[in-house]
Amino acid sequence: MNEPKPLENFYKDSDSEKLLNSALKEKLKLSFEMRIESHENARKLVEELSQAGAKQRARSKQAS
Amino acid sequence: MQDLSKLLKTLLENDIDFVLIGGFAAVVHGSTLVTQDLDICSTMSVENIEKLRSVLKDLNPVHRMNRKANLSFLDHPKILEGLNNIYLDTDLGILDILSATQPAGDFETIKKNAIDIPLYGFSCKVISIDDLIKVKESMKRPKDLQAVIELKKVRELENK
Repeated sequence: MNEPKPLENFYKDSDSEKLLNSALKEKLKLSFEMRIESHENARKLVEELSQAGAKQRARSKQAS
Repeated sequence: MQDLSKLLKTLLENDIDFVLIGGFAAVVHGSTLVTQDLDICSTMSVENIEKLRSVLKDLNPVHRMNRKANLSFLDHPKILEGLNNIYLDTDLGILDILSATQPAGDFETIKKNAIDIPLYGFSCKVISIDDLIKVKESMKRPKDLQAVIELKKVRELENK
């Protein structure tokens, strides 16, 4: 059986660069307002995920 | 509920003289990174600070560098001369007001190099991409260096 690739080789540098280029090109197509709106949606998601993580940790601590 | 776009709109609607800097400026330039605060560069004149107090009065602005003391920006500091930076927590999110951001320079220098963009029906000054790259490069934190990679790529794409 083949050994799994180490994580650091999973995305080759050129692939990461392509992904970044494509994400930036898409972002630059948006109006300034849309760039901000898309950022705010991402920020709220990050906030919700971090709150959910904190709640989960608190629950685990209580249970142990 | 935190809403940095609403906080920015509030500053624009009330004609505060400022330049958008930091991570939020990077977002406007096209970065995909997420920031949790709004950074602006502005003049620290007594008149401007009083105007900021009046504009932020309904947003419960408190100094976030001394959270335990829970000092309201509306009453503190009493003496407004000689302030350089104001770090606030408001109902709409974190607002940092800086008089300069090195190595780009002070408010007037940053303002001179800034770009004007149309935003929510107003004209908003945003730190130039070259100045922002300089500032982020000097900070050397991993998130700032990631922003530098993105901003340089944005500059390359826009110059094509």
